[in-house]
Amino acid sequence: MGMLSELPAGSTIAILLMLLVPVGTLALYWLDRTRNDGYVSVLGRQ
Amino acid sequence: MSTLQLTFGAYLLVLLAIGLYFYFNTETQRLSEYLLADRDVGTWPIAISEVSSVASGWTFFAWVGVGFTTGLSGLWFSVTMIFIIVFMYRYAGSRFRRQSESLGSITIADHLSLAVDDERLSFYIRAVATVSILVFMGAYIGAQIIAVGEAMDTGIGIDYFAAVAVGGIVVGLYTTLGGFNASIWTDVFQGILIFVAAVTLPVLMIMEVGGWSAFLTEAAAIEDAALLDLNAGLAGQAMVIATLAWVTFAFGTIGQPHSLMRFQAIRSERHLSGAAVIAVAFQSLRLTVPLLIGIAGRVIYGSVDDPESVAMMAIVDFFPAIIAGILLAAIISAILSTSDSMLIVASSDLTRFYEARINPEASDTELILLGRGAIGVLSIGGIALAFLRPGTIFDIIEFAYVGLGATFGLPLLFLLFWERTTGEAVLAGIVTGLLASIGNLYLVPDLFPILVWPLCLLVIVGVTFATAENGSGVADIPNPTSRSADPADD
Repeated sequence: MGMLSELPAGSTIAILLMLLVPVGTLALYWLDRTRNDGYVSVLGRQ
Repeated sequence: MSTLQLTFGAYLLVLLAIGLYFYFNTETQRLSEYLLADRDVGTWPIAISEVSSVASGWTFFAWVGVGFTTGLSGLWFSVTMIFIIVFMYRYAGSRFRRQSESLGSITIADHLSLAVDDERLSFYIRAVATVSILVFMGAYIGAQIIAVGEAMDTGIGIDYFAAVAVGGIVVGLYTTLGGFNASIWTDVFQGILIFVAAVTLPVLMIMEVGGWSAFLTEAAAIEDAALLDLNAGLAGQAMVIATLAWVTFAFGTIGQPHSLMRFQAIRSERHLSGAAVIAVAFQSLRLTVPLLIGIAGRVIYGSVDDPESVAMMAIVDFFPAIIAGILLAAIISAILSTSDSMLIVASSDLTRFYEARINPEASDTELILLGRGAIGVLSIGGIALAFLRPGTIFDIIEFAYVGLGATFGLPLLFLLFWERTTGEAVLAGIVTGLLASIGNLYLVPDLFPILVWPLCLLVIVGVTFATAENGSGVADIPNPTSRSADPADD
């Protein structure tokens, strides 16, 4: 965050989204593995 | 001959060797085996090859050029695209894979044609879709070959025209020999090299400027461009139009035939969730970092003749010759890999058209031969377009990307998610996508590609309602396969 805080707010939010979406996708993958046998699901529910 | 040129030459030989290996060691006897590797490709090759294919002339040329000229405003595109990729992998991919297998479709044009019940409509869809593939993929392939030429010219010091010819011939040869197998495994190899190039280059450039804070201060001090501002310093109507142009450009992601083909080729739906993680992570990197390379290039070099060549200049300036040679090879190989995927898609559509309409009795050997011939002809066409050079790499890619998205992606999504969609609406959507993309670009270029999407959307929905009573049906989405019958994980 320290590095990003020097950027304008809009750009900071956009870059944060670019970092958070992969993390979110990883979390969904973990839910799929643990709750849905690896198949894609909506938040762990088929 | 310089070290740079020697390293690069060695790399091209490795590519040819991969093509030859698959030519001699796999029995590509059936068309689906040649084009989709028999629908038996695992998570990692699918995801990395997806990234390596999309990362291309776009990433290290067009996107660096965007960073150089308009800065971080390109993030509007990046953020939109990353969400669309999640949607495609997690929600559209399974349905598409399932329907593709039940229809036996090999490409997107093939899929849209086979999904319609009426035979005459199916023929028209295949004909218009094949023309669209030739128009948009032809432009896309030409853009990649221009990028290869520029990379060799600026980076390695080989004359542009000689470079275009050499690059075109190598990609045509190894794709012709090895088919999808060669293409997907070279993509994996190149995906790793791209990652190294994408991570190290901006770090070196920003260090050259004096570190992150110094880089931001100098970038903000550039007078005639607000490079760090998400809205590029625009306000009011100009800002709205610029933002909409970025967002609607990103919508093209839904219909890239070479990316969609990977959903068709994946071994099992079970692999999609994991493939999504890898694809999204790589895309996030390659949609952000080149913008920083472009901005750093503007800070370091000031004004240059061709902003799209800044990454090549920086690689030669910031790395020792032998490493620069490998990195340039990585970038050029990524461009080549995009070209090979596109060549395979375009040639498969021509082949399927021949099989479906001209000679239904054609043997698989004959079709594979025809496919290889088509790749050769398309390679020559792409080289010819690169010699003519009708615009910047970004201009050509934007046209092709939006055109493919509107022509194929929108009808496909309606087919997958709206069961009322009729065959007539699919055909109308494809025709409108082709005409609206060309019309918007030439008649209202200031609003390209904003007008394409609402027009296509209105036509598909309108025709669906208009033909709700007597329209022809489309294929259903089959139920998920029995999980116990699914292939095991990698």
